[in-house]
Amino acid sequence: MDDQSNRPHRPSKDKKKHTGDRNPKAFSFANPGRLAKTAARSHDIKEKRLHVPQIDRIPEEPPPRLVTIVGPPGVGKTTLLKSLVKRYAKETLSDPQGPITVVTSKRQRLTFVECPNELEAMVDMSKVADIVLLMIDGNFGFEMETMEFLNILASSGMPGNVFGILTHLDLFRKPQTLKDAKKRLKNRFWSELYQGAHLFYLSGVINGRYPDREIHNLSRFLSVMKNPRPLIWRNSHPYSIIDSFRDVTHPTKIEEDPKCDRTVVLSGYLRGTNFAAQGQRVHIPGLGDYTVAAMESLPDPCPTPYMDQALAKASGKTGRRRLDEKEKKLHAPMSDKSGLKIDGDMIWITREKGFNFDKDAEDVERGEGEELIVSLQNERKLLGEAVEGVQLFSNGDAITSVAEEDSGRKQPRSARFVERDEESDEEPNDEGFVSGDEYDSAEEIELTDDKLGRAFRKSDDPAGGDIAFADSDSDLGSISGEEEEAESSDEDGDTRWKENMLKTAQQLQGKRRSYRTADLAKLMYDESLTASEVLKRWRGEVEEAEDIEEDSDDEAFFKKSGRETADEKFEDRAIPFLDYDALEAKWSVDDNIEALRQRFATADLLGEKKADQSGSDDGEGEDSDEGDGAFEDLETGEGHKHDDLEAERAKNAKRKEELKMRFEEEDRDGFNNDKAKARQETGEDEEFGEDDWYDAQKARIQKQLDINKAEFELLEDSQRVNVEGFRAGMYAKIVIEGAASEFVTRFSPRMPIIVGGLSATEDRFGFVQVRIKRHRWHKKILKTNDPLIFSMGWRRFQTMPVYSISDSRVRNRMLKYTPEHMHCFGTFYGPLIAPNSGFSCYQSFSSKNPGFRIAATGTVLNVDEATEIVKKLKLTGAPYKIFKNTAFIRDMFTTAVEIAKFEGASIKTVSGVRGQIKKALSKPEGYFRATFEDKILMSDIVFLRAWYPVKPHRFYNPVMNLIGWEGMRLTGEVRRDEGLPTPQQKNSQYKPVERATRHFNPLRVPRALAAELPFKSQIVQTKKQSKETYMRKRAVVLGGEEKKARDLMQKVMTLRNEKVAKRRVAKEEKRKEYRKKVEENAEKRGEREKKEKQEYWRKEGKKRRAETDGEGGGKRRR
Amino acid sequence: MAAPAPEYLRFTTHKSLTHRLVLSTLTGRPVHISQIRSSSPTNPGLAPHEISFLRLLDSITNGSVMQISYTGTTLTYIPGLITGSVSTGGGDVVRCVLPETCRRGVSWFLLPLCMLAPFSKAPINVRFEGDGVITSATETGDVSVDTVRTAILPLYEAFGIIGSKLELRILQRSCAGVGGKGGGGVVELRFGSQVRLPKTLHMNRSPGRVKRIRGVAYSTGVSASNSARMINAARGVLNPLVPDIHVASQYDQAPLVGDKGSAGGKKRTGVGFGLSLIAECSSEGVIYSADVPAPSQGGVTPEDIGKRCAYQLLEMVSQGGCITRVGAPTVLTLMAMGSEDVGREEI
Repeated sequence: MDDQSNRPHRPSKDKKKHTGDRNPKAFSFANPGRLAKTAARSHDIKEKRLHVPQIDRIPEEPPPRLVTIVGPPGVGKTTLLKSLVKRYAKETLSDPQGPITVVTSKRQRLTFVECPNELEAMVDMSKVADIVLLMIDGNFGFEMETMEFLNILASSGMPGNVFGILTHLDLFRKPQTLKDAKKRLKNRFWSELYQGAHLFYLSGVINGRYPDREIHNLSRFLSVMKNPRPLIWRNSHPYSIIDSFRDVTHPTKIEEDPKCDRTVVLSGYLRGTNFAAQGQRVHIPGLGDYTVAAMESLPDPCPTPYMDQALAKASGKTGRRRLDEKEKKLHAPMSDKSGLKIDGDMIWITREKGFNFDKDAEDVERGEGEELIVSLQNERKLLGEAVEGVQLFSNGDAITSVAEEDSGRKQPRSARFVERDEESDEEPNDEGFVSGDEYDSAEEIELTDDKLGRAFRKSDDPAGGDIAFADSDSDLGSISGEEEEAESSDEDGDTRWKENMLKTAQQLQGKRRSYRTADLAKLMYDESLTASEVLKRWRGEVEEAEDIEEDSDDEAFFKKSGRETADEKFEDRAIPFLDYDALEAKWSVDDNIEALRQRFATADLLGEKKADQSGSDDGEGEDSDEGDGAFEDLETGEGHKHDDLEAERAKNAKRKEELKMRFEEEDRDGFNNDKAKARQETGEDEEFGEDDWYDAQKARIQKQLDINKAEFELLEDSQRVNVEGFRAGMYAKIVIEGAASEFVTRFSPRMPIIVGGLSATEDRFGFVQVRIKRHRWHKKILKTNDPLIFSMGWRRFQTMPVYSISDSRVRNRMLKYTPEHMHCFGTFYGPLIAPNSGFSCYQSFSSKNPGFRIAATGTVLNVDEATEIVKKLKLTGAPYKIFKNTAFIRDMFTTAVEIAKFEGASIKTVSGVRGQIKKALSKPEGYFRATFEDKILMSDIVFLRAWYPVKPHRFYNPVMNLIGWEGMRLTGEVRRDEGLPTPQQKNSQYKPVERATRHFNPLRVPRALAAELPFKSQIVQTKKQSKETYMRKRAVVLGGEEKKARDLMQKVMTLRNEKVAKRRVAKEEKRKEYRKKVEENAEKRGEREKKEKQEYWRKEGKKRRAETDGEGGGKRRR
Repeated sequence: MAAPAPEYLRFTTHKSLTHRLVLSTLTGRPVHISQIRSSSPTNPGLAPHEISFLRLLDSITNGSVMQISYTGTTLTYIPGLITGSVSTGGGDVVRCVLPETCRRGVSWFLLPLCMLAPFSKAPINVRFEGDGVITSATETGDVSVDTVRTAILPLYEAFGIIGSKLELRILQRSCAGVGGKGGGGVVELRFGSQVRLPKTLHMNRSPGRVKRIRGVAYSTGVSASNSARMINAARGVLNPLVPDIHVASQYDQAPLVGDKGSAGGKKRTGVGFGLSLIAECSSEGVIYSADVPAPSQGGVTPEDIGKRCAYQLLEMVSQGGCITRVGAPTVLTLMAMGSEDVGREEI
């Protein structure tokens, strides 16, 4: 075995060494094809990421995200809500109602809203929800409400986060069926949303809640969610979800008239863009349009720990940890929370163990409601009042007794500014805008810093606030002019500034210029001052120093009466009056010219620089000469021509320096270039290439946002609100006046209330043109001028659309019905809205109709004040006299005037002969002469095709479901309800059309006449044939053998037919028996099916009933 | 159920009437203006040019309602939508005929029209014609069309409006006619760029240094040497400050107005001359302008006009700021119409 010798391997080929200095293969691609593919793919992915850059206006302290729980009744919405609240707030709500806000993490809050099973609520929630938890009964499958909600969501702007939640999975007995059901539902859900949409599974209910582990998983998903791309509508409108509601109408008014219009206070977190400080128009879906009567930001009822910390820092009050910190994490004013429930204008306090309102009792666990009652027992103390008296300023003396309080209230206390009123008792100058005292601005700042109540302020500490103030001061001062240096010295430090405040105040009393924009605003809006007076005050000029020059100027110019001059003054002049002689005198002085020269490119930069330096530091100016001297020492060797050369060199050096300065000013990155400085300040120093367009846009947006932030932070709170409005993220109360009384009486905390801000255009009305398509799941097509409910923008309203289609792009032709499967135009009267907004339509919101309720969807194309829809109109007439190409037509018009309007119009006969209307006939009124391209027949009908403009009805009926609403009914519905028969016109009835067939008689010419006809017109007739024709000659006659054969065949066939007939009868007999059997079977099956169906609906009915009981679901047992 | 009853903003007198109407149209707020020259014994109520402006508004908007009282002293205006020049028949140009009693220059119409134009649905093309179109600067304080073209229209570019789509065609020049009334010019404004939300701008830095001066010297129906004399005089003042001065000289025939049928037949009007100067600065978008016309009754030499214009320009430059009095309404209106972003501007 050892000596077995195998054939040796073939020796491998020697690889040729590459010849160059490095291996060329190492620097090429292994698989060029694959490389190209991967490169293309990675680029595709990169491009897919890109969207049109959109400004994200979410503020620094964002409002809580809105999570809405949607689903059909009995699916477990309330159970989920309770579970989530328990998970986040460790609190059990027996009956959660209205929005519930919880703190979920250090900087994040969530507001949960359970969407009731009403279509109105679903439509509203779809417009505001950030996150949707779509609950589906896993055991039952998708229901109509789920599909409806998904479609509503799609038309009103799909939020990025829609999670499906399958419940009732514990009802599956077999694991395999559960698995199959999950898979089936997942695939359906994915095809409705997108592939890979999140779907959670919740199994059984334990202790009235879902299992903790499953809820925990769900909550993890909710909290790690990123901000999705903002929806355009929400990014351009302010809105708020109301979480508490109060009726503040005067009780006597209600007593006088229980139906009187109410004043209500709605409060909630502000979302979207900023609410305008004054006169914000809002729409409350289900209630109507209102102007916000008053608005006030309230302290955040549910601040995040981060905000708490910042607030504590700002107010200087550190870490007063409350015992009931746990409770603060939950804000649910409409729910029954820890025994306290706010329901309209009432507060219900519930306690199981009985009440104990003894305020001195220690160690007693009290609910929030009890705390409230107990706190009422405290003797009233004024704000800031301590045992040792009121301290107005931090360094001031405490005031123990008030000498004379004459700033009492002059008006009855109004509902809007309850808190502010209370404060103004002690701080009469606090009003900011109203009290026009400009000297106390310094004190004002102190107060606002201390107060800090309204809104959450983000200034780091009081000192920081003061420094910011100082900054703004100098900034503003530099705008107004150059005299501000005099005072800038006392702005350097806040402590010193505070110490000698009294002294400063005295100084300021004399003659002080205010540099703050706040003061300017005060002056500007003070109506008792004229513009010129304001200017004077702003400039710090005293009243006595009249601008005499200007006045005399005017008088010199106008030599008319005083009245006329006043009139002339009103004329807007773009070019001001100038005294050219004075100007000439001014500009012929060299000093003035030289002074102005610095504004020109020819400016002497060196001189300017020197002037600057000498202005700032006197010693500096001479130093520059030293450099020259040193230079001279080094370079100059020769004695003669020394002076000349030196002068030359000095000149050159000067020139060089000037050139350098010029360069610095004009170069893109020069030190003196203003723009370059601006760029450096704002941090926009990156350069963006051609491919970085996207990044450049984003950087630009970010830069603008930074500027906004910086500018607004300079303002104090009250002024900031005045300028930019109430920003999103604040908790504010909105006072609405004139709400119908039914809003209060029918108020249900289950229905979400939304306050949506309207822009100026949305407050106007006109015709809206939309592209609309009937929803493919809606049963019927839609009819023109049938009332339809549109959900568009914040509003839901009933209107009467007219459908139309573009007729070869020439006209919009009216359609009686929407096309089956196609888009068409719709035009209706309603509030204007930005083009490209989506909408959805409904015939009715009621849940009575069993089908799919979304009738149509579409987008807005155009808004206008006029419409151009036409419908076809055919006028018919008949000829009564016909010449060769001319015919006289009657029965088309009734007067000559009508004909005059249509002179030259083209007409047509039914057979297609075209013609033209020529002129009206004088005699029979309404008859006219027409010409045709050919001779027409007397039996022809002549018609004129015309277009008749159609206008949609100006009908707009907002759906006010919160105060009880019934929409306009269809004519048929009205007739049915009233029991009226449909009127039928005799002429409109259908009758069988009887058309006599036209019978043309043959032409007979009398023989006598025929004889006399000329040869050319002779009627040609053929003679009778005299010979037998070829065919007749060949006629076949039977005979002999063939005749016999045929006879036999006939007999055989007769016999066979008889036999077949007998057999058929026998078979029929058998079939009858079989049919009977089948029938019996079918009957049995029907019975069984009926029984099954009854069983099923018995179950289903239980489920539906659970909802109508008002108890929510969750009581279902199978 | 129709739209709710409008709430009127109430104003008195005809002060800045155009601007009030423009802002009303842009914001959609109805306005009610009363006491328009109510105390004037000779010509109470709206002046002819104001009526023409209302007509112009009517022709470029859709659905606006204007009610003028019998005496013309009260005006109610419910704005409609700005449609531009689409719906009108006869091409894409809206014709605006000014009556011969018009005393204001055509820039009085152009400036507010330009403020509306960016927010129109379709491009706005308006041709001003008739016996009242004064293209030059007027004594009533209107700037010339040259200033509008060179100093105002460039301001729009900063707001995201494409400059190449804005055009002001001066088809026929005219100075103010006899007694400052009427002219015969033809001006066409083509505003082809529309935006939904104009960008904002930040011009709160220094306005920079004036680097060049441009201008137009126009003489209509008078000797072209007037232009040269004006230019010469202006250069005499400005040359020491900035060497880069280029002033175009524009000579036109005076326009013919009137019918052939009327007693006098056709006659020439709008004879005169004037100078428009602008100063461009090193920072972008900062333009100072000055405009001086010869008074319609004459008696001022071209040298005086040139000098006055130069002095006016110097005065404007010395006043400083990034926008001038002429451009301020335009810039501020567009800034206000933008998004909620902060814009900054030094006046």
